[in-house]
Amino acid sequence: MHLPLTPTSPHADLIDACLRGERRAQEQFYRSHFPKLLPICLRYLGNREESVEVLNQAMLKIFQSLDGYRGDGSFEGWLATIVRNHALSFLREQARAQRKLVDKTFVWPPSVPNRALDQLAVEDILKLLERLPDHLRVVFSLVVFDGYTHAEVAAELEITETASRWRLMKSRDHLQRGYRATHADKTSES
Amino acid sequence: MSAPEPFEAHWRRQLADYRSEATDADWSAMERHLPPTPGGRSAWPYTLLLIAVVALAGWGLFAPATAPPLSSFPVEVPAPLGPTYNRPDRVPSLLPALPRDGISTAAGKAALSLPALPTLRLAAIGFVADTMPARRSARLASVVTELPSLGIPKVRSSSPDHLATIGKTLIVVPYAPSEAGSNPRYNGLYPRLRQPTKDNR
Repeated sequence: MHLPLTPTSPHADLIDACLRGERRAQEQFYRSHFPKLLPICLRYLGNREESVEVLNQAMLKIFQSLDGYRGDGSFEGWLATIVRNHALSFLREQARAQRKLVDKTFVWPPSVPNRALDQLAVEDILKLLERLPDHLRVVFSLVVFDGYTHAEVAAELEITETASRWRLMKSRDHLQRGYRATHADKTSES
Repeated sequence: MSAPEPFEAHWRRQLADYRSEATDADWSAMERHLPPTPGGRSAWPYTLLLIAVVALAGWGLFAPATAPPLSSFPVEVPAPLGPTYNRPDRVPSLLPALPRDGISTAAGKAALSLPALPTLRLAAIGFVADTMPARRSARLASVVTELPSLGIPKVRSSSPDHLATIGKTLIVVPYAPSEAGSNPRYNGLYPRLRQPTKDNR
């Protein structure tokens, strides 16, 4: 078992302890990376309950694959890639089981405060993302938050680039139209 | 790809700075996914303690009892027999004299200086009920004695009426006279047989 991490790396000792199966080290690792990894699941899955479940499955995969980290790129980027792939895999399986990739009626959540889209707090952003249909939210998150190109989205979701562009356009339209429908009067007044 | 909308840049920035701390419930859910760690470092002290307790218990139960050293007991070596050693008298000389013809009387027992043991005769206690049949009537006894040398005795039935009812014949063999003056035909158990007289002969 060889880790390319240098001994001076802040993660080296913790990762070694995790590889030995020490439960305290695993908990420390989990709690230290949970804050950065959970938002990845949240913006793909919407609600926190499913996001934590998917993140825990991804963490289990991470614990089993720690000795396979080759040191290419940042460690946090490697973790984020595993978590994102797990979230996408979860959505794929869910779509196969429940056929949820259908357009849902977008309803602007009444709890969102009366602010412009570019002034929303992160909690309100997550609420809006949760209201989006799954197939639109995935494309929106991949392009807007993770910087995927449409070619990469098409390859990841096994769809065409045209479908990826259409989904991104549709998600933007949902968000802006829903916001205008709810706050048009107040926005014009302000 | 077209330039992102203004709100998207804001959202990206907001989510990049977003942190959500793990709760204990989150870790508990994660812990259920993790395999157990039997070889974890935290389990070693308990394992060693358990082994030590078991070893001590086994030693206490099955270890052989340690005998005290021989030096802890006083050892007395008997003195060698010297010329002043008196040999004990012979045992028969200490006993009272016995009669040559054996001990058959109370005087003989007294000669042994043995205390007279009380003799207790216990009568056999039998349970007899009125409904129990008598011993004699239980069966018809057939008494056969040695044939007398004087001749073949007469064979007769002592109770022809009873024998006729059961269809059997009792053969009664009288005793042969052995001693003059005694009544050998009476054995104490059965009623006397009628002696042949001139009338019934």
